[in-house]
Parts: sequence; C-alpha cells; structure tokens
Amino acid sequence: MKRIFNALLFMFILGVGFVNAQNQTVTGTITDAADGSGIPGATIMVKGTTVGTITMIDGTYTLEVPADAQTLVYSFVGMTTQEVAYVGQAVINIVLETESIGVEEVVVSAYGTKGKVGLKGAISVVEAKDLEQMPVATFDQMLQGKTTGLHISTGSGQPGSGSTKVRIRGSGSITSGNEPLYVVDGVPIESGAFASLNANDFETVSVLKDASSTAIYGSRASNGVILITTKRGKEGKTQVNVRHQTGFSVKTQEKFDMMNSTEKLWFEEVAKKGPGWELSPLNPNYSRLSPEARTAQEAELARLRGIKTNWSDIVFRTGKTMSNEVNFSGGSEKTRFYVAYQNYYQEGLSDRSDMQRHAGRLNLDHKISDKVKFGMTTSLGQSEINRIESEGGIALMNPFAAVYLANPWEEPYDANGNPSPGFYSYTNPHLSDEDNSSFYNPYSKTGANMLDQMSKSTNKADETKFVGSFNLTWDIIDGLSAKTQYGIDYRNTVGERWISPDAWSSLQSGAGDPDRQGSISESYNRRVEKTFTNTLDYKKVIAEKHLISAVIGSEYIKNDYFSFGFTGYGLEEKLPETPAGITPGTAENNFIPTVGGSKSERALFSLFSMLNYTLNDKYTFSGSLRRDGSSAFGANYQYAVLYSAGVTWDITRENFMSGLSWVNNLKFRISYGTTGNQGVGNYESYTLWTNSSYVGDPAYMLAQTGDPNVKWEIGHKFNAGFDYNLFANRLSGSLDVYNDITSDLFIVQKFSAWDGVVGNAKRTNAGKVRNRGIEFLVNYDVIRNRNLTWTVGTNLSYNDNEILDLGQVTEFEQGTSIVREGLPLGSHYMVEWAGVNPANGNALYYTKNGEITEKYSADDNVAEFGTSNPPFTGGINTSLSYKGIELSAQFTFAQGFSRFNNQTFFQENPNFAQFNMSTAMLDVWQQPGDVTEIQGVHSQREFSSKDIEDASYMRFRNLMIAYNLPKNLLERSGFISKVRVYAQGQNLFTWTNWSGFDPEDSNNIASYEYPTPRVFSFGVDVSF
Amino acid sequence: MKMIKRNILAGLAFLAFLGTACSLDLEPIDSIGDSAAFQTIEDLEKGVTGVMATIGGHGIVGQGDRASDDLRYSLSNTGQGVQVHNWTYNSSTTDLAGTWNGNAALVDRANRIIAIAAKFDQEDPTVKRIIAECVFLRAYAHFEIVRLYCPNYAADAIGIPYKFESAVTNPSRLKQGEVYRYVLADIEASIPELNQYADRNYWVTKSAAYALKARVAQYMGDWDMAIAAADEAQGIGGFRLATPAEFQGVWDDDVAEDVEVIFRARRENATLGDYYTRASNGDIFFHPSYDLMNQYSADDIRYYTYFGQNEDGKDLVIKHDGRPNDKSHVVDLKIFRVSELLLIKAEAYVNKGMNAEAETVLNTLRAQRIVSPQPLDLSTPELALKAVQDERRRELAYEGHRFYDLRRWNQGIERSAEDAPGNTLTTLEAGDYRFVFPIPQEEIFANDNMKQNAGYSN
Repeated sequence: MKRIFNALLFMFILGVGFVNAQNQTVTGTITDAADGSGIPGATIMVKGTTVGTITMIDGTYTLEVPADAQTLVYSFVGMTTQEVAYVGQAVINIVLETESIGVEEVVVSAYGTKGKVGLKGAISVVEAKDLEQMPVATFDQMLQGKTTGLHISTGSGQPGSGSTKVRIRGSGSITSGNEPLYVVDGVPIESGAFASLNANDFETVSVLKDASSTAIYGSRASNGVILITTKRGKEGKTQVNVRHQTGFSVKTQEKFDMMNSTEKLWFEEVAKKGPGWELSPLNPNYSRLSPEARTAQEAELARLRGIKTNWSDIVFRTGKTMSNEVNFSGGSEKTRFYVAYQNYYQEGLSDRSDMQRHAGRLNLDHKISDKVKFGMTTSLGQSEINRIESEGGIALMNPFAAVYLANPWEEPYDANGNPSPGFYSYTNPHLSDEDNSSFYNPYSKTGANMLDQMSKSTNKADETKFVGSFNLTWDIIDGLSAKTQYGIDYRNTVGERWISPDAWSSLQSGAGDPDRQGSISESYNRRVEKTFTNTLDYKKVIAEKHLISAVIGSEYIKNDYFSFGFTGYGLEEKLPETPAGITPGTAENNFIPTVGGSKSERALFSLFSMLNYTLNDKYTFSGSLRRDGSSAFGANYQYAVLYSAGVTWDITRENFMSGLSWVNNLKFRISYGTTGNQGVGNYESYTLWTNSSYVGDPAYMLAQTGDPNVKWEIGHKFNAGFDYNLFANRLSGSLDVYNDITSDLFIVQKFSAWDGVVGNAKRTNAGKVRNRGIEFLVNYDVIRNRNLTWTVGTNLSYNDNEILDLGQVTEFEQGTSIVREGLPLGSHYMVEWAGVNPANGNALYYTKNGEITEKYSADDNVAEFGTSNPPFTGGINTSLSYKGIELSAQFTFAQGFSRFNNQTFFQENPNFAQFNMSTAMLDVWQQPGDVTEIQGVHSQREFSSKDIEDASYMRFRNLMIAYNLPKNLLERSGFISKVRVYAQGQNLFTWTNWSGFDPEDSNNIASYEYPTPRVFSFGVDVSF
Repeated sequence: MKMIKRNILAGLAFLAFLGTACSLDLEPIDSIGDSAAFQTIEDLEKGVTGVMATIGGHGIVGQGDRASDDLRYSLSNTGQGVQVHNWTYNSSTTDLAGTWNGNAALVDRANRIIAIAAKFDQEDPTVKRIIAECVFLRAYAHFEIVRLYCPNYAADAIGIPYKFESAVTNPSRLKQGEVYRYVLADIEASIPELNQYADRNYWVTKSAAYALKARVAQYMGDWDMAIAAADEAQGIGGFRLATPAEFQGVWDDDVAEDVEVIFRARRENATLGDYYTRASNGDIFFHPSYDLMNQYSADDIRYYTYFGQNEDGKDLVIKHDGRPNDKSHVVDLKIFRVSELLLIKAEAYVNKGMNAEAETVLNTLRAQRIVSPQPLDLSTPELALKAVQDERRRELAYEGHRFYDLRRWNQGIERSAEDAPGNTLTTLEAGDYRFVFPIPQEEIFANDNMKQNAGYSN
C-alpha cells in the first residue's frame, strides 16, 4: 500500500519536475538472488524524479543520472525494492530478492483489533478494484463468483432489486434465514437493502466463514459475516477522481418457443377452448350455421391467423445505464478525509422499470492529540426504483409472463396506437344475439390488458438510507486503548402504488367497489438500528517473542421498525400519482380509505472478549467468548453464550522450511467454535391477541400461539486450512475444509387443525443440519514482467448439505420440496412422471412403489430429483495486462442442482389454452397410438417430475477491456495523473440445459421472474 | 501498573453499568399478550365476538356447488375449482382443506374463551351467556365438518374428533353416534343461557341453536326431533319468511333482521361470489347449470334473484354478487334461514308418511316465491319425496346444501352434455366415495391418529 502511495505522490511531483545540472552515466546488472540470473524489465529510477530506465533482456542497464541525484531505486514486481545512495558510482550491480513479506497477511479488524492481532481464520477478501464500476446496481450481485465459499444468485433483473440470495458455505437454517451478517465500518446493516449504497466507496469486502473469524459476532454470525470497510483519506495531496460510465441492457435469449397464430388456433381446436375451437368446422355448433354464417366465421378465423403479434418486441426494450461519480481524498497528518458523490441510473428490460441513485459519503479521521482521535463515517443514499406490475409473479399483469402468455392472434393496440384492453369476442353478423352468445365466448386480451395496466399504473419505492458512525479512541497507555463507537443504520422507504381511474382494471370493478375510480396507496416504513459499542484493547510484547492481545467489550443494539400506509380511492383523473386526487370517503360513495401500520422493536445486549497469543511469530492461539441477550429469545432462554478457539501455524518460519525458497508463505489454520442464528421473530415467544372488530363490535382474535422456549440456532463450526504463496509468489491461494453443524435448528412443527395452533404450525428448536465442504482458491501469474502480466485464477467450492435430524418428525413438506432427514435442503418432492399412455393419452405416473399408474396422487411424491441448492459453485477469472491495456474475463458456474420450472406448468397445460402455449404442445396426444410426452387435453395436468430440470450452468459473467493512457502523454497536461477508458460486457453467455428463462435464480421455482439482462457499458476514469 | 489496573477496572465497571441499563424486556406493541388480554367481562365479550368473527363457511358453499350439478364449467375458467368440479380431488387438493381447518380452528377459539370464562364469576349472567354462545359455536363448527367429511349417518360409522378444550392432543376420529351425541348435548346445554332476539341475527340466539338441532336431526334421520326443533326455532323467535317483495333484499343484505335469516355471518371483504365469477375482472369460472335453471317456472322470483347475465349474454350466478353500491361479491353468509326450517319439516313429514302436512309446509314457502304456484303432486311417497327434494334444490341453491343432500339421499350426479362443455366429466355414481371429501393431507401428516376417508389413498 505504501508503495502505491509513494508512486502516487511521485506522479504528482512528476508534473512539476524538471531536470537540471549535468548528467553522469551509471551502468550495472540486476540479478535474481535465487539463481543469479539477470532480471529483464526491472526498473531503475532516480528517486524524486521522472528519470529512469528498465533492464535489458540480460538484466543490464544504462542510466543517465543527474548530478544532484541522491538515491536510486531498483524495483521489480514481486521482489523487494532496493534503494541505493548515489554518490557518483559508475557501476551499480544489484541483487534483488524475492519479496518474502510480499504476502501481506490479510488482517481483518473487528471490534478494535489491529495489525497482527486482527481476526484470524477462513477469511476471503475481495479488493475494491474487483468491484469498481461494475454495471450492477447492488453490491451483493457484484460478489458473484469472486471467492470461495460464497454463492450468490440473482433473483431478479430489476435494477436495484433486493432479492439476491447470498450464501456463505451453504444453507444452515430452514426457517430462520440464511443471510449473512453485514457490517460496514463496524456498524451492522440491514441485509438485502443495498440499492442506496455505492460500492465504489468500498475498500475491501471480507467474507468471514469459520468460527475463529465469526464467533465474535455471536448469535448473529452462523450464516457468516461480510465485513466491509470503506475508503478513507490518506495523508498527502488531495486526489480527485472523476468517473463516467454509460451502457445499455438487452435481453438474453430464452430456450423455448411459443406458438405462432396458426399453431395456436390449431391447438385451441384440439383443446376445445378459445376462438380456434369456436370458429372451427369441427365444433358441433358448425352444423347449425347457415352458409353465410359459416363464411363469416371462416373469414374471422383467417383474420386471426393473419395477425402475427410479436409480443417479445413489444415488451422488451434496450435499457440505458449511466453512472457519474466524483471523489476527493487526502489530508494532513492530523486530519484525513474521503468525500464521494455518485449519480447512478439504470433502466430495466421493460418499460416502467428503472432505478436512480444519488449517494454521497464523507469519511473523516482526526487526531485531537497523540492519545485521542476520532473518526466519522457517513453515507447518505437515496434511490428511486420503478417497478413493473407483479414482478416475478405468475400473474397476467407481469409483463414477463404476459409476453409469453399473450396470444399471437391478439392485437396489442387500437387504431390510435393505444393499448386496447378488454376481451376478444366474436360476433357473427349472420346469427341472432342469443346464438352469438351461446356459440362464442369472450376471451381476455392478456397482452393488451397488461400493456394498459403498465401504462396506467405505477409501483415505486423511494428509499433513503443513512449509514454512519462516530468513534473516539483513547490510547490510555502504551498497549491499552479504549474505543467507543456509536453507529446507526437508518432506512426509510416510501412506496407508492397508483392505478389510474381510466385503467381497464379500474373500469372492471363493480359499481360499489371502492377501486372503481382507481386507487393510490402510499406506504412508509422506517427501520432504524443503533449500535453502541465499547471496547478495551490491550496489546503487549513480552521478551520479544510473546505477543499477547486481548479485547473486551460490550455492545447494545436496538432495532426499531415502524410502518404505516393508506389506500385512497375515487381518484380525480387530472391529479394523477398524488394522494391529492383522493375523493373523501363516505358510506354512500364507499370510497373510505383503508389505513394500517405497525411497530416493532428488538434489543440485543452483548458482552464479549477475544484473546490472542502469538509465540515467536510462529504459533498463534486465539479464542473468543460472547454472551448475547436478546429481547426476542423466549423467557426460558434469554442468553446465548458462544465461543471459539483456534490455532494458526506459520510453517514458513520453521527452520526446516528455510531450504525451500520456493515456498514464500505457508500457513496452517484450525479452529472450532459456536455461533448463533437469531432468526427468532421479535415476539415469537408470546401468545398474542389482536384488536379487531365484528359487526361493529370490538373483538379480540387469537393471532399467535407462542412458545417461551424459542431461542437461537447454534452453528458448530470446524475449519482447517492452508494459505500458500509459492514460486516467488506467482502461485497463491488457500485450501479449506470445513464441517458446520447447525443444531437447535428451527423446525416448523405441524399440528393437527384441532390443536388450536395458529396456522396449524409452530417453530421449535429441534433439528440439525450439516454443511461440510472443501474450498480451493488459486491464483497464478502465468506471465509477470514489466510490460506484460497474465493472471489466471479460480475459486472452487463444494458444499455437501444434509439434514441430520428433524426432532419429532423425520420429514415434512415445504411446497414442492421436502425437508427430510438424510437429504439436502431444497430437495424436490414430486410425483415421478412416467410419460403418456399412447392408447388413451392419459398422463402416467410412478407410484412410490415404482408401478405405473394413471391416477395422480400426492401420496406418490418421491424425493429423487435432487436439490435446488447447488453443491458445486465457483468462478474462473483471468486478466491480461500489456503496457496500458488490461483485458479481464470472469466466468461463474453452479453445478449439480435442479429447479422446478413452473412456467411449463402454464405454457404446457390445456387448462390455460386461452393463453399462448409453448410449441412443445404441438406434440399433444391426439389419437390412440400417438407416442408423445404431452398428454391429451382431456388428461388433467398435474405437478410432476416432468417440470423439474437440471439448472446447472456456466456463465460468461464479465469481459472487460481497459486502456490506461500512457503516463508520458499525461505528464504534458500537468495535472491529469491517470486516464483509464474501458468497455465491458456483463452476462455475455450461459451454457446450460435448463429450458426456462434463466437457470440462475434466488429460489427453487421458475415463475416468470424478471430476467437478468446482458449489459454492455463503456466508461472513463480520470484522476487528478 | 497501578494505572493500568485502575483503567481496566473503570472499563469493566462501565461495561457492567451498560449491562444493567439495557432492558431486554420488550413487550409486543401491536398485539396484546395472553395475560393482558382478558381482565374484565368486557374483555371476555370481545373474546366471544372474536370467536364469532372466526366463522367461515364459504368453502362449504363454493366447493359443494362446484362438485354438484348446479354449475356448468365456463370456458374462461383457468383451472379454478376444476379438480373439484371433475371429482379428481385427493387429500392434497387444497381447495377442500379450508372447511376442515377453519372449523377446527373455530372449535379451538370457542374452547379457549370457555376456558378463560371459567376464571370469571360463574353466576354472572353475561359470563353464562358468553359460555353458552361458545358452546353453541363449538357444536356448530363440529357439525359443519361432519357434513363434508363424514359418510351418511350411522351410529357406528366413522365420525370426527370432538374437542372440549384447547390443547395439543392429536385427536382421533370418534364414531358418529358419539359425535352426534356431543353435538346435541352442546346445543341443549347452550339453549337455556342463550339470548333471544329477532332483530339481531348476527348474534347467537336460541332460534339459531334450534335451527342447528333441526339440521342435525335431519342428517340423523330423526324426523320427530327435526320437526320439533324446527318448530321451536320458528315458534320462539318471530323470524319469518321473506315476502316476494323482500326476497331480493335478503341477498342484498337489505331487509330487517327478523326477515328470513335466523343466523348469519358478517362479511366485510371475503368474496363468496368469486366461486362463480371473479369480481375484479368479470372472468366467469362457472355458469349456473342449465339443469338447475330449468327447474324453475317462469314466474318464480328465485330464478331472477339467483341467475343473471353479463353484457355478453353469459349466464351468471348472481345470488352472492354483493350488496348494492358496495364491494362486488361481498355479502353476508346466511347460515340458517326460515325456508330451510320449512324444508326440513317438509322432508320430515314425507319421511313419516305425512304428505298432507308436507304439502302445507311446501305451499307456505312456494306462496312467497312463485307468483302463481301450481298445485304439487304428492300422491305417492316417491312423488312426495321428489317434490320436497326439488323444492329444496330450488330454494337453497348455492347455499351449501345440494352436494351433501345428494349424498344424504343416496343420489348420483349425471351432467347433461350441454352442462359438460370442454372436457368436463359428467357422472358421479350414487354412493361414490368422493361424495365424502378427503381429510386434508396436512392433517394426516401432522396427526398420526387421523384416519383418511374410504377411497382416498392416504
């Protein structure tokens, strides 16, 4: 870090530097200490000037040195830089050694720990440069494929979506949440609410995985911890960075086809539903028609066949992305600052889907005296998200459902180019009204209704988020310091949902319905979490070989949640999208608004301590202990006590390693400990009654049957691993094995309906689940010299998840999945599909005994179709840099999992023949002898293993090419220190067998989710 | 060293201070804890009102109708109720679980309030009345489950559990003889303490208790008890039949409370009419069957009250399409009506061979429904029974009786071709096991003591 800083400083000076006085010539050879060979491409600079050169292929150099030169600097990547005092020597030969401390130990600080005594254990760090300027709105999505043990899947392509799934070493809980704990600069923040944070401000993101590193976070840490530090100012001249990025998003290609008009009308005839059937000569009514009526009907059928609406072209669009940012950093010895502002805008793949963010940050550090200093971290962000209708829902108003389900024979717009909602309904001019109504049915216009709704309604979320902290550190005496920090994570979200009075859906409402003239809902919710942390930190080196450090502390966290909202009716058309349009409600007009709201709070009080002992820099023993008391735990279990113990052994420092010069660093870690998962509802332990009313009288209704025994889940974590740097640090990485068992696992215990438990189910701490696995991280510098570096890296994780114990039961169902002892979480549970009986077209299923039957029964569900949680995950990345050009590519993959494709249940189901069908349905069984996988239209379509598909994928996630303008060009400007231009593509290609839209999703079921876009962007970064 | 010690001690003291200052006792804000909820008799009154608010019953109406011959599949249906309509349901058909779960919960809520009331002054008339109301609701809820999930009455046929207290017990199914005995005992126990007012039919009255007793007797085939209870229900109360002029108002919730409806459940949001047509966009799921519409004469006011057409001329069930100028399809659920009592009596008389009495009762009803009623032919036992059954179908259509009546009468279902469009199935034989709904699979999984009904695989 220091070197970079020096280089930056150096570059500033370059601008004003000039050469004077007479020059002298220095020659010499630079050789490698390991084998005595010459090092080509090494740099020799006169310190404090721009004067310099590089070595030739044999390691020799010649340099013209100004007479007033004092120091020469010899450097090469991966080797220790040497400085030589210049006193007029003509020949200077240098032997460079491989940088032994080049492996800067990753030290992650928590609760005031610093330097070597920071957190130890299985920690992966993602550096800022790997996250910067990705055209993704939320930082959790940026972490995809970046490191081991971390699996991230995007649930929605909506810009700013909060539905990204983040898992560290698999899922250890069934019902208490598997989200890690996020801590920014010591302040815990809400998970899944990152739309208002600017990830370009992040310095490092550390992923804490084992007990040694997480146990200090106690009962919130069993899903792992993601620690984020933000950038801070550095002493020196003020640095200014200006960044601009622009780009566009397009849709990826789905792997299925929908029917065209001719095919669809034919299918309607087969399914006996829809105009294709009603207008068909095969319809029994046909015989009752006059020749004129038949001609008219045939003309209508021909007209419908001639309409070829391409819904994909209508719904999907190319979205724009733009980001502008400026930051300033710098400071003096006493005061340092980092100030940043970002404006980010991204459009989604459909109209009415975008996100705009303004985010500002001020980080300040000040030394009041040698002993006392304070720090302040503030970030204020505001984001506005516009959402589509029914995002991710199996709903006809969801444009990403309607785009497939709308009939190709449906006309989207009327003559004026407006959506023409309503029904398609044929009236034969040669028939009486009565016959028309008995022969022809109206059919909802799926596509036009959606277009109408999309253009006449809104769904917005306006979020304000503040994350800030203030801390004061007092170095009481040498080695002992006290720190107090007050942090706050504040979010409020204002939601607005407006439906125009002239929307088709409003007009459909009955005369007495309150929403017959549109509606507007405003919702407000506020979450405030305050953290007050006090620590005492003690460090002491005894006899130059015993390093002891200890931290004790207390922490109080208070969380308050408040929400309210209202829905008003009878909107004035001339006052759209404002509550001012509401008509006051009376009993007569039935426009009485609905109002509601809630409050809830939660507190956590903890005492904790950490102890580290290091002997001879070789052996480190670390331990931690934490006691958490939570207001949410049941009265019978108020306090959780959690601990960890670990050993780190720096093998490189052993004498027997001294001969192995190719081993630059080798460390062994082992730890065991317990952590908790606090996923208990705030008042889950109480039996509760709510205030209600019936026929105008007040009423108490049972709302919850509580359990005073509810408590935290306990994660027992074992980890052993190596960190290694080999071959002059060209090969580095880590290898970890772990075995995590969550006990006291929350199980949803089902009750008989007669037993009076609200919802017939209640959670109890009864189960056990295990995640064990291997993580392998490797980075290899294939080529490394002054002009060219090529790096290849990969991270591979294998996680084996198994449910060990479910308490009183051995299994229970969860939607289309089963939670069963001996199986992994997310195991699909379905009746196995056995094909179609060619004789009668009936669907065939296997009974649980393996016999083929035509009778569908959920009793025949079996769990033989794998799990929706991928065991193998990882990423591959490579980067190539030649002079100023950088090229990098990243691939991510998830292997060995399957998902339930609920879309096929709709697209391949004659019950839904009034909607468009997948072309797979062209193979529908029609007559005895047809051999096909599509059952006859008479045979009830059921959920079966037919809809479960392998969702393994490999994705070309990112390709970036960047060019840094040559320094000598910039020097002329006198003030620009760096210019970087780049182009990148995101989500470029996916290899998969999955036939749905996108194999990657945050859950087990594909249900017309907002697809992840392909994004291309171009940007420029300028530093002054 | 001394200084270090002092500082550490100060630090520890500070931490300890924090420990005591931070309270972890945070009571719920939006709900009321168990202990705080019931402190006065007014609180108890709120509790029993909450039990009343738990009364469901839409599934009994809607699912029974879908399975019956009173509806015709609509081509704009997107799968709503198709399994029930085609009798392809099984224990995992969630449509059929609502009545089981809802009424078992009603039993529990009633039992909870009974237990809480036991802590109050047992001589207080309000406390007595509240207990009686809960005991009545307990009987009512049990019997609703019996109607859907039990085969026809026989003392040793399989029944359902009967719960007298709120507790986790994993109950098993009793014999029907026991269940009916408990139901009747609860009704009898409640009657003396119940109020009687003809102007408040949202609340439990003696009339409602007698009406339930009449219905139970009808299911048992105890015709004397049925007649006596029906007479009591009517005689005691002052509830009367709606006149032709008032009849539409009954379905608009727009008549005086002593007219026609003896007991009803208030509805503010739930849309009973959505079983037939979707309120939000007018999508028709089921039309009235031609078979049912053909049962009415042209001058029968019920035809015009129960059936309508949309603007495309499609037949609709409009009986539950909502109160005028209020939310569509939101309308009170009528649990007991005067006409049902008359029909119970008529059926009882026919079964006792008292056809003349049956005719008188039927004519009383028909006089208020048909402009010029034609004389009935009750000359043979078969004709008399058919007359009662037809009138019952016409009067109580879409009120949760037809499908269960067919089972009770041991009749099957045969839909005509025009009532079975698309791929609708047409025939359910008399006595088919599917006339009794399956116990929900969730119950079977959760409760090891629960036995599935005959014919279903689990």
